[in-house]
Amino acid sequence: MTAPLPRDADGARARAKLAKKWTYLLSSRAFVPLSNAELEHHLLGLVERLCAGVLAEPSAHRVGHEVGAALVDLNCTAPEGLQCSVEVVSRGLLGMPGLDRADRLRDRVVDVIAALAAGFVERIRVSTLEQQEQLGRSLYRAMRQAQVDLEVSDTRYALVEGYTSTGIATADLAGALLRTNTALARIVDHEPGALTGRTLFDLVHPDERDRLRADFAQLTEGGTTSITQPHRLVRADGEVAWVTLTLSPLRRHEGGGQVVVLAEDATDVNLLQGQLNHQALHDVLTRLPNRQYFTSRLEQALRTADPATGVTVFHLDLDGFSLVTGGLGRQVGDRLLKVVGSRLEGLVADEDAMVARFGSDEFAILVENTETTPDVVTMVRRINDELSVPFDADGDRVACSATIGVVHRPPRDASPTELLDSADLTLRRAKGNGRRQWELADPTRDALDRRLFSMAATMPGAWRSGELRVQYRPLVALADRRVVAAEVALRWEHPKLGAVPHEQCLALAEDTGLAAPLGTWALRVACAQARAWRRELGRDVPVRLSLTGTQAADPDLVAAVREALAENGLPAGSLRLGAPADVVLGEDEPADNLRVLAESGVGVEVDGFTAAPAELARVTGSAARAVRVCRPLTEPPAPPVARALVNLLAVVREAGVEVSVAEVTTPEQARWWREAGAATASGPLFAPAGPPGDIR
Amino acid sequence: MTDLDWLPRGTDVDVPSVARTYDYLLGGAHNLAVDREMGDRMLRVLPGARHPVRLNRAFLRRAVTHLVDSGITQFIDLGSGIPTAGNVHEVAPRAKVVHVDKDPVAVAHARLIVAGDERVVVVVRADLRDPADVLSRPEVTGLLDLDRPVALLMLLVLHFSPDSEDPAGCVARYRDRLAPGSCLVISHATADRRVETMRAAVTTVRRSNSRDNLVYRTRAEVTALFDGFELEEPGVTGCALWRPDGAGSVADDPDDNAQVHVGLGRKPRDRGPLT
Repeated sequence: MTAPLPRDADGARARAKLAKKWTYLLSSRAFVPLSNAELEHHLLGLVERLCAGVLAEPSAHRVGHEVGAALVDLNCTAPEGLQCSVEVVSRGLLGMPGLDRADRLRDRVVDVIAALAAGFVERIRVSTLEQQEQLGRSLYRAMRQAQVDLEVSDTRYALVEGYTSTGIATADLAGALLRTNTALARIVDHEPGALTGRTLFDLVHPDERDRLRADFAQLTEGGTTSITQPHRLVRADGEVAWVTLTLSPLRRHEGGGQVVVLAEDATDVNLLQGQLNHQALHDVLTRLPNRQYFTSRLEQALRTADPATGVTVFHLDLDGFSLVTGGLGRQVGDRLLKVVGSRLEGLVADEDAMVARFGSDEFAILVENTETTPDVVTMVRRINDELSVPFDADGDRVACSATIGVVHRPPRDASPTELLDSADLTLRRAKGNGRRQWELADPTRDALDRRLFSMAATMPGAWRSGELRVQYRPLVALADRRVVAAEVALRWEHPKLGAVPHEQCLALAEDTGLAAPLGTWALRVACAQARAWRRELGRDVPVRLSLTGTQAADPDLVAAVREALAENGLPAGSLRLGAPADVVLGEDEPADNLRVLAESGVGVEVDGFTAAPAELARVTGSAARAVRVCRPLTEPPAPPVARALVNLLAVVREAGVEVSVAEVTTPEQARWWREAGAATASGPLFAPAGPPGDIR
Repeated sequence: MTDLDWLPRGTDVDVPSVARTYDYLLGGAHNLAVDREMGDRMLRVLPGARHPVRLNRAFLRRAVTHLVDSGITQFIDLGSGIPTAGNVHEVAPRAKVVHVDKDPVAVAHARLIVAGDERVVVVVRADLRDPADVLSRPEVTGLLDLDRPVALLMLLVLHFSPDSEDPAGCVARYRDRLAPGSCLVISHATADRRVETMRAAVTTVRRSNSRDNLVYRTRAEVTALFDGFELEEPGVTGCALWRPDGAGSVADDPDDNAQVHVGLGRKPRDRGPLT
């Protein structure tokens, strides 16, 4: 407790003045985190306590200590702060009004100031120690945190290193491997741990060591970015491992730098690439070369083969392959294809040859002939002999045969594509003759077939664009040449080939699957025309359509006929439909179709009637209203046969079935048939097929 | 791990730290021999070096007081260093304060100092040059409401950021994220005066093996950092001349007073479309 201060106005003013001065000096020498007013207020308090200390001797020491400590607490820790404080306070106290009554004032002030200095030092020592201790703790915490972070990252690294499939190594600046993971060991086929002590350069293919050394030098000389390059590593087993190597510099504060090496195994990628290459040129199932590969080999062979012997191409199609897969399953089919592939390869093993698989059941063999190569006939026989040996497929004995198109010794300048087209066309012709057939390429036939095939291919487009038309050929009564019906004839105004006649149109339609829709279309057009004639000519001119087998079998035929008739308000009798004898006189669905139509009143007729006994037997009980005789029967036979024919036709007529004759070209034919009992006829003799206006 | 011959940035006791040297120049003892050595070297080159540091700290107090008076209750102190005497949360004890520094020792230390106050003061170790990171830290978003005005303090830090780091762009990214009414306070060393001396100071810092190097900027360059903010009176000025309130605000030497450029700007509130 300090003694109360004198309550003199002079003293108070002097103390305030001292505090102000002290504030000014202190704040311009040390950072005090207070505003000027706050600091001044604070210091005034200290001044007052110091004054009290001077007056009351027993408390002088304690007061001085407290004020010294308070200065430190105000952050006046710099020597200048203490120095200016001692100066300003000493002088101020010595001249302070009201203190002059103190005994030995100077001694008292010295006591107080000495205590202040001691208190300052004591406090600053404690404060400094505290701060240093705090800092030590902070450093420790930061280090510990760093170490924890490091351990976490090291554990993570170890996990990555241990479980990744990428090879990881740490190398010193000379390339010596300091640390490697098991993935790297696996890539180079070493025991884990066996790599330590070796250098990275030892592992790299000798051809690539210099390049790698150069990359390495770039990093050790201060490069900061990673370098990634493909490299070959040499495995312990002598094989090469393809890798992508990434070299990254690892900088360290002390000690030399290091290089982290990542080795991504690219062997699989390379193998895969090779495999993809292989797949691009090979058939996956039989592993034989595919058409592309075969074509390029053929191109080469055409150029390099010995002109004296040339090359031969065999294009094979397995007979009835769909029966094998359909009957025994796809797996057996696949087995068969593999067996065929390997047998064909075996067959030409002694030749300079290539066997390829072209399509589902098509194979090709290219033979570069030599003096000792067997001739084509022998080769073809051997092929089918080889294929006819049955093999065992899950208990089933399977064998097959092939139909073969052969192109033998084509000219050297033939293009491989043309040559393969020719082989294909030849094969198709051979197939037309049945199973296990073969044929040699014939350039003339090829051109014809090619034209037909190309026509078939363009037919749908031609139909859409209106190149196909319906024309009419009059059917006349032989008795008076009166037009009794109009026969429908298709005509394709081909822009390059000119008019394609009816029969060929139908054949092409069959080839392209257009037969049914084309038939329906012709039916509608013809029925609409029949209606027009009724209106224009004032009489009924029935229209007659010849259906192909496919058209007659169309399940929608009955509905289409009814619709076409109804649409045009025609009686069923205004429509006559002809179909091949085996269809009309058969017993399956097409015949049912026609029977249903006949029962509704549509005139059903037999096309291409030959008066064979089987036909005769059936025609009498059938739904047919007429039979039609076509070429070559249109040309009257020799007298004995003619007589028999006349008798046979009489049977037909007696059954109530009309006899008609088509393709009549001469008056003699017309007369003969009229005498033989035919009622109607058509053909060039009367009128060719023409536009609707020709029918009168 | 026996191979501890490297240390994360800032925990190496042989490398001086800007934060600890600053503490030393402010009269603190939260520093190591290397820091004091760098500080003493600075003092040899620039005998008055303690003054700008003291004036900057005094400016911080005035600026924060001014912000609190204007209604700001949230602060982000970027490059807070060691938050000793006169730090933001002392000046504004009722505000929410985030201290951000990249120096791990300063951060560990700051956490010791603010221990117990975590409801209103947090310390985040982050690099202020990555605004998206700073502003998305859970400690920050958990404490502050970024949709309300925030005061962003960047005191004596941007002069460690060379132009190649695009400090203006960095400030702009903070600005774009902060709510209208938010404030930016910058103090930044300059060599507009004492050109030779300041150049020598740079050399000193560089030779001291510190990781941070000084980049002085002119008054115009510092003003440009306030792009998008409305500068409050008296604009960008010498540290001591920004609203001084007594002897502690200024130094005797006018060069000391102008050694650090300071300014306080406010992001305008949306005024709606101009008509």
